[in-house]
Amino acid sequence: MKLQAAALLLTGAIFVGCGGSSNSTDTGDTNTPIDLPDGLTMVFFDNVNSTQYLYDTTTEQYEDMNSDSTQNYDMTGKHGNPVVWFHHTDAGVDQKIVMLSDYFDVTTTLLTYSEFHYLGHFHEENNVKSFAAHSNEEFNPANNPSETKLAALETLNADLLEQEEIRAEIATALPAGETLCNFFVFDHEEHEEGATQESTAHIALSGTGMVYVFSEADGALAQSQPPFALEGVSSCHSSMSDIVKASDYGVLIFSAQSQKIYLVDNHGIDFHQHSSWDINRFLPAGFAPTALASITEESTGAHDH
Amino acid sequence: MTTNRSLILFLMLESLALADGIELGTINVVESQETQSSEEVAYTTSHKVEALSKKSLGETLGDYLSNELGVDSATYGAAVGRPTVRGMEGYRVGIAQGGIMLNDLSAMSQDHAVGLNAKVVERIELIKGPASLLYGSYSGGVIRTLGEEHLATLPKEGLSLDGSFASNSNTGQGTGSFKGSYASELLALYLNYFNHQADSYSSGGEIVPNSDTSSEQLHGVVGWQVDPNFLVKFYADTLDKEYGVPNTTPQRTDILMEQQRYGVVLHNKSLWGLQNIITELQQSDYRHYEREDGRYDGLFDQEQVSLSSKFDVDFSEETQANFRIELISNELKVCHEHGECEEFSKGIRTGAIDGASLANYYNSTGIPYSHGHPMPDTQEQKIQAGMNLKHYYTQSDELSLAVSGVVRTLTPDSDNMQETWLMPVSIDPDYYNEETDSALSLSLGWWHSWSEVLTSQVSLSYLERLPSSQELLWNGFHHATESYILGNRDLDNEQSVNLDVDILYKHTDALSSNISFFYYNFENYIYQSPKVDSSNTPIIDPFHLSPVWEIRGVGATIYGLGIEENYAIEIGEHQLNMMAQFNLTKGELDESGYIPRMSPYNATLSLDHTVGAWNNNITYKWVDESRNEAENETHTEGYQLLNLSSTYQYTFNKSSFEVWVKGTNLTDEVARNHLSFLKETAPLQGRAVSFGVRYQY
Repeated sequence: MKLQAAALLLTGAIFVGCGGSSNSTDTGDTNTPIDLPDGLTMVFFDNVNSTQYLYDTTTEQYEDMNSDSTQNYDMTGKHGNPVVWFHHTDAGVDQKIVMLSDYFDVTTTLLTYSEFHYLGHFHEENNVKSFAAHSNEEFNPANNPSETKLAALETLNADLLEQEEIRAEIATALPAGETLCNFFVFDHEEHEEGATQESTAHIALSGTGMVYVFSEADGALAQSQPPFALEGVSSCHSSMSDIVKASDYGVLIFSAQSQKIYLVDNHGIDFHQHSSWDINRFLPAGFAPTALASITEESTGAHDH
Repeated sequence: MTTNRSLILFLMLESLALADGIELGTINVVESQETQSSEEVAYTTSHKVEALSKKSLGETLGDYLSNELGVDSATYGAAVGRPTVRGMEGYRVGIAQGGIMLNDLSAMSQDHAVGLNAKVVERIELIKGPASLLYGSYSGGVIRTLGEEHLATLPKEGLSLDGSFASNSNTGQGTGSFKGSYASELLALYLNYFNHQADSYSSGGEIVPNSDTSSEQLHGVVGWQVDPNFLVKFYADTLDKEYGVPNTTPQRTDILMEQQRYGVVLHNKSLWGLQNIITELQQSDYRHYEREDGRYDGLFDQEQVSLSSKFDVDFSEETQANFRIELISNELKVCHEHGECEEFSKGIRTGAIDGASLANYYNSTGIPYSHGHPMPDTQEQKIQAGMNLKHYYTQSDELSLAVSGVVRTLTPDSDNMQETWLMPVSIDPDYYNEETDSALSLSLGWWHSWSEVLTSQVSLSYLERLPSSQELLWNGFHHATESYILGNRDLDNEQSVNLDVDILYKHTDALSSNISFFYYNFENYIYQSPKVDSSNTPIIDPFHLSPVWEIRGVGATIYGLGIEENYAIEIGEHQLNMMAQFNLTKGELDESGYIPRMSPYNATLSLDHTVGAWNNNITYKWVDESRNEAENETHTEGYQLLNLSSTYQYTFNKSSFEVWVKGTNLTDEVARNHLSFLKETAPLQGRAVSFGVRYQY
């Protein structure tokens, strides 16, 4: 089912166990179609002012996620760093957004309930899916969380650690003088299962704003095309940029420096900047996010509340 | 649309003007007679548009002229057909309105429509040899369209009306046109409106997707006879055109084009010893959007201001000269960014290294691939002057000497370019530098009447053409043509030596033969050639998997022959005119191989029959398969077209009423035009039957 229906029903959607979505839905400027890739639910967060907006690329509507303080995903007065978690379950992959604390570093400590604010994903009720969030307190041992929740936390930690391994691998592959700012690996789930990675594209955004594309062959990463820059991006910091999946052939790269989203995709041989969107084309003027996370409904399987 | 608004405004103005003491004047029945090219040998062949329209298979300028000797049409679907002349295409064929080259981008790329509907002009001239150098340097000569404003007289006094409608069974829609004028001895108002609507056509029983078109143009002129020697004509013109591009992309590609032109033409019969002085000031704005699936991926814009003056000088009864000088200023802007080309924008500057991405591709592949805007904004300032000196030695000899010179300053402005796709100085330090270039062309012509039945005309020309800004600076993808174009910043002037020979032999008053031979030798023939790697495999661009076309300047020779036989006979009340035509064109590269997209050999047979108010025509055209193909050029099968038309004209009082039926491609042949980039996906229109009516007052 398209996200459109779910987004329309965000207003007033309440579900048991998860924090319900906000009851205020704003409509963006619909005079000119935005035409971001359909089917994405994007969370933009400004870690300076703690403002947070959800944007549905299908309906092209945004929502102030901090407008209802009763919602678990309300970030008013908080600071964080949203990341996407591809949660593998027996029923498939459940895409989740975890709002980590902005100081959290998985290489120094494992994630506990106190190092994140919420865990958001699609919840289905009466055959309608909508975005909602679990509070971190649901994972607090003092509140007797379910075994499933504790197991999920363990899996999340494992995934975050694996991401760090990949980060280190890509960082090593970058040319001398370049540092790794952000990255995305296609078919990540296959990687996790140890599947063949010969044609898997690794997209890396360097500290100078260059996009490198690597492929893995013979156990090592090698550049598969010339690197390229994104318009308006000359520097990058991991807390001021993000890369999310747009399709099986492309990613969306967010840069706080340029306040743009870039579709980097491959419909020929090489990945390239296919399109770009100014954030203020579809989100309120004055909002200047520092981070982006994005998920889709696809392959959503059974999950624990 | 702009045209609609303009039409309403103009009708209101005209109504106001006519409301004051309207008085119907004399009858002005538009003549249908044309100057037949078979009647004489001349550097200029002139046609009335109405006559061309009757024979035309479509509504493009190429359709209108493709029955002429040596002329073909480079089609790109139903809406686009730029004429090719004696194997010359694009920038080698000038298309002028009056004398000013059209401010369109049709010479740049085949998908760009010519910026006028042929139906809206009054006359079309084909000019070659020395006479063409007045307008610039064009190996294929100049196609000069003349609007009402370019005629040195006011329309005939009184009210004239001319309206027509025609349907097309293949496209399900048709055309409508209206032309009207009201003139007194001193003032005249003139209005010409044309509308063409067509759904996607079919060929061989199958619809050709995205071959639809919608076009309308409004042309208005106000004339004032200041004194018997001096006439002023103000004009305005607006054109809107939307058309699909029937290419291979699964999503619809279409082009939205608009153009406005405003100007004034001053006609002086004589001044300071000069005769026939025509001075024109024109300002024009051209813009077109290229969309894919409704997304604005490309935008082209060109603004142009031109001031020109043409005049004649009679040095003696035997020696005359035509002069023309023109100042032109234009600015070309091009945008390529998916979904971001509804308007132009400046590139963002972050202080990063200029052209980092482009340099990476250059270092990696040897080709400076770019996925940004394909070229910088470019300003051109040009001064162009031409002279054609004619001397009559006797009644039977005329010698012509023509000179044309142009000085151009080209100023690229890279502010629009994305920072990362700039051309780095490490690759080309002069890429964005302003430069001033010049070109000089000469032509010598000899017209001779050997006897009452044999006339010849020979011209030998040395022509220099400045490379266009696109040929120099384009580096990027072109959506509508699905190709990556790689310009060449170091191109020299295109130089050629052109020999044209025309012979007219009148066997009898009824039978005549016209032979046209041409041989053009290019020192630096500039054309788009598929770029290949060291193993001769065509290179594809890494972003879109499209072929890479490289702008090259090479030695080449293009030659050909055109033969036209005309036979006229009267049998009782029946007037029969038979015409047989054969065209042969060949283009060879000095480095071996042929030039792509040359017209295949073709022949046409036509029989025109007039009796009383009836006029009937049957035309058969044979087009050979492509025989002289360039390397990596796909083969095109030959085809045959059979066309029939019948017209009945009824004249009563001050009016005439005409009804016609026209059948084109009656055998529904799947005909593919070898000149077209889209021949695989867009064959010519299949069988169509058109009905039309026309009223003239």
